[in-house]
Amino acid sequence: MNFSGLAFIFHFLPLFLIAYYIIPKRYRNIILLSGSIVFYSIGNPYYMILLAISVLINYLLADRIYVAQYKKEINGSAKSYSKAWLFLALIYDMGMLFVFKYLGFVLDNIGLISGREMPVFKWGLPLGISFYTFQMISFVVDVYRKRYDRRIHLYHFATYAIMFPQIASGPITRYEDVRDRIETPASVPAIMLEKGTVYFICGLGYKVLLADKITSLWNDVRTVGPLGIDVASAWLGAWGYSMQIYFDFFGYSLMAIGVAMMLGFKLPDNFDDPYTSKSMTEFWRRWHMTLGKWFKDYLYIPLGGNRCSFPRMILNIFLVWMFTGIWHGASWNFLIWGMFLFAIMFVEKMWLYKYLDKSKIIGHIYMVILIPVSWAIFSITDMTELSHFFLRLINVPIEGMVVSGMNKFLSLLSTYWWMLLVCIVFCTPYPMRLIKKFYKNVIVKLMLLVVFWYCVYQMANSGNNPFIYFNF
Amino acid sequence: MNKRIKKKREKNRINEYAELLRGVEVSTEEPVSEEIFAEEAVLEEAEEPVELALEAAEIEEILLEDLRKKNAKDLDYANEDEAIKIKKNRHRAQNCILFIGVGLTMLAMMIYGFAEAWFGPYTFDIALDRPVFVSFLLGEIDIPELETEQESEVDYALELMAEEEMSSEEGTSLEESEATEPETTEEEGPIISDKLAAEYLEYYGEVPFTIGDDVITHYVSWNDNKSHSMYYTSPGVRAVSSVYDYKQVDESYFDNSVIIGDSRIEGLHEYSGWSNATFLYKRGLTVYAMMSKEVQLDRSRRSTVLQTLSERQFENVYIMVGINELGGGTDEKFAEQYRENIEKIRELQPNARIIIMSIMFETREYSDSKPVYNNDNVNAKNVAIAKLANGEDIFYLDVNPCIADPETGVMPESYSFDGVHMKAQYYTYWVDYMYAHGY
Repeated sequence: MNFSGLAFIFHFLPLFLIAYYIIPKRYRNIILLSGSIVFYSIGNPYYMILLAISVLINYLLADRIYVAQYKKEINGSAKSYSKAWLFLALIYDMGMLFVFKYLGFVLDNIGLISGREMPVFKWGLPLGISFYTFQMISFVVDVYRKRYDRRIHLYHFATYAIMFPQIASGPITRYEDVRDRIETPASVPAIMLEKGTVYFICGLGYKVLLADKITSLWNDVRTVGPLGIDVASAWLGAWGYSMQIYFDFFGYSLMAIGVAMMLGFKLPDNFDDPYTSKSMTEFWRRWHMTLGKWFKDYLYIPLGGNRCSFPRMILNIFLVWMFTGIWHGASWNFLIWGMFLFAIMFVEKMWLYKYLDKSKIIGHIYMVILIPVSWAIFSITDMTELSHFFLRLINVPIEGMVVSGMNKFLSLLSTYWWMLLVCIVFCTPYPMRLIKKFYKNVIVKLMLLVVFWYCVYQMANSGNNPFIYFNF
Repeated sequence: MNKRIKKKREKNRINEYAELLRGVEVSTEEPVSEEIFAEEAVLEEAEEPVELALEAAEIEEILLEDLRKKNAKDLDYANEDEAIKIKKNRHRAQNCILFIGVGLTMLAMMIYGFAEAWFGPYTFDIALDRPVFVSFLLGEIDIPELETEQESEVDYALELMAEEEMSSEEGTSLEESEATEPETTEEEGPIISDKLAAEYLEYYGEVPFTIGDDVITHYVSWNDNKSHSMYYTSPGVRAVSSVYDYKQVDESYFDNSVIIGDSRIEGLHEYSGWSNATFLYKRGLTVYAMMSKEVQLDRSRRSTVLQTLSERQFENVYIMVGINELGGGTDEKFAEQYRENIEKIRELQPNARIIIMSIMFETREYSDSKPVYNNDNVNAKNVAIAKLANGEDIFYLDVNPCIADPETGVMPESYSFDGVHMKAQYYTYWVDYMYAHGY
């Protein structure tokens, strides 16, 4: 089930909210937990079992860690198994992620290299596995780092881990973000309901009215294939895709935050107007912030961060970007994408960043070129097609090309120019700022309600396409 | 006053927080919603826990900061005075008009959807997946009604069913006895030349046959993967290009041709390189809207099919529509509309050849993932429109052989990104196929 689906908005959400508000406060976690289980199981009930096992194992190991540390403190004994439990948890989580996400890819490539027939794994990717695995790792590590001074109840942990607003694709939330609300449920103030609704409608609008509309631009370019596009179309398509992926994921995150807020939770923000950045370094501080923070806190800093020798630091950056790359998907293009990001980060770290950061316009021009290039690598999984697309981006002719001048570009531009303009406007911080400032105004509320109705109409109109990020 | 309350509130919260940290059970009630009671509570609770748990001022400081953060986080208000003001009327309904509006919309739609599903003519399996108000909002989705419920149309439906049963039965029986059937066709119908027979064999792997009295339309066998959709019937056969002595032609043949269609025709327009032919295309064009909807005449001009066809006489009128309306109406309705369109074209273009191009198959992968937009449905529609050809001035041209994957008989996966449209470089196969099938 996805947030921009009619089934979610008109079946699951209203029923769930009614149950959630009617039930006395102290039973709300039960409703939230069971509702989340239903939400998750509708897609594939077997994956729910997997998720439940994951929750149990992580909880038990985290609890072992807590008890071991507690005992150590009380008894003062030097011996503690907390590290062993931590490693066990990490091995389990990484193992699950590897088996379900990367095993097929690895085996395929081993098969290709060795030329031998390898067993084929055809099981699909459990919904949100990359996200919930990361959340669970953060929980176990936080317990190990003594971030929680009380033993945490399984029921609270399960509510947090399966919570439906963020289970499918983030924001990657830490237990401490939602802890208060889970452990001491309180009534949801009207203002939070309202803000949640505003976020939800904004997210829905971004997803349905912007992302789903602009998506056909990139789709057109891909449908024709690199052999049929001129250089301008290639760029236009890549820009279109940049807009699509941003509004898709940003819209989704806003909806998740909005729904959570209606339930009384404040999830962390995921985007901070990334397309107004002046360098790739800045961009990744503002894009998918919860993931960036996760990598910083649970990979980069434990590795030594930047407080170590220079080669070591470069290695750390390299590892972070390589993992960021493959986290997004098990395919060569994601690896290339990660490497591409690393290369840019490296150059920026060495000398470019300070100039870009100071610059007024050059930084933006630099990003207008780099962003579509990086998303193009992200999007095209087929290696030949990717290389062809890049040749087209720099206007190198390819054998077998069937381009007829700029015709394709002109027809694309005439169809999509206004859509692109709207998207560019919404990439700036101003629309959101205006909404945040004036959302209490009745006229603005009415406008948002109309937006909601229009979104519903649009969703009914086109069989809605699921979020891009659901594949990861 | 304000300041005092604030301080007390803070202290109160600190104590609660401290208790939380120590693992003491805390009441699940609102922390401080009524200031009057809070004052006393603060005084009582304030002394006890501080002694017990908090040893140093620094802890208190940390907690204070935590609390401030929490307050700010809670309501997203940095200003505490405002936070208090808001807390006072935190449950007022006028603070969440939008939420109520959206909630009521959701509820109304949900109830309407369930009611329709329960009492309406639709079945639950459609309703649950896509709430029925979809049809209410759009008014153009045409879900065929169940035959048994229509009294007046029972006869017609029975007739149709009988016809289909007959045709499908014959289809399957004929598949088994191919050898006998072609003989009977050769007696009455058009004669299949050796060249054409060889072509058929190459494309379809079998010799086409006719069904029943209709000696014009030829078929080969077709095995459905899914045939339970209410959007189409399963003909069990696949129609082949009309039997005709096709000529090899070149580009100039299309000087006087008009090609009408949907996004696939747009692709043909862009990558065929035919600047001499007239193209009338629009993405998402359906057979229902074909004649009257404004379409692209070329890149910059727009026109309607009716208008263009009444302005100029053409030799050939090629048509390809049907992929968009796979879910919109039964095969009969689709074919009926197609027939009407052809009649209209005939009126406007008395001397033109009308060529019904088959709806092009999708890739196997795409087709298998779609309950409605799949190749079986495409085939059912193709069979329905193939029957409109008369072999004299209306022809059916199956364009699928030009790109078919030899194994699956449909569009190869590598030819398409979206499963429906060919990539630019493969249109040349289609173009060559059309050159090879001049009339």
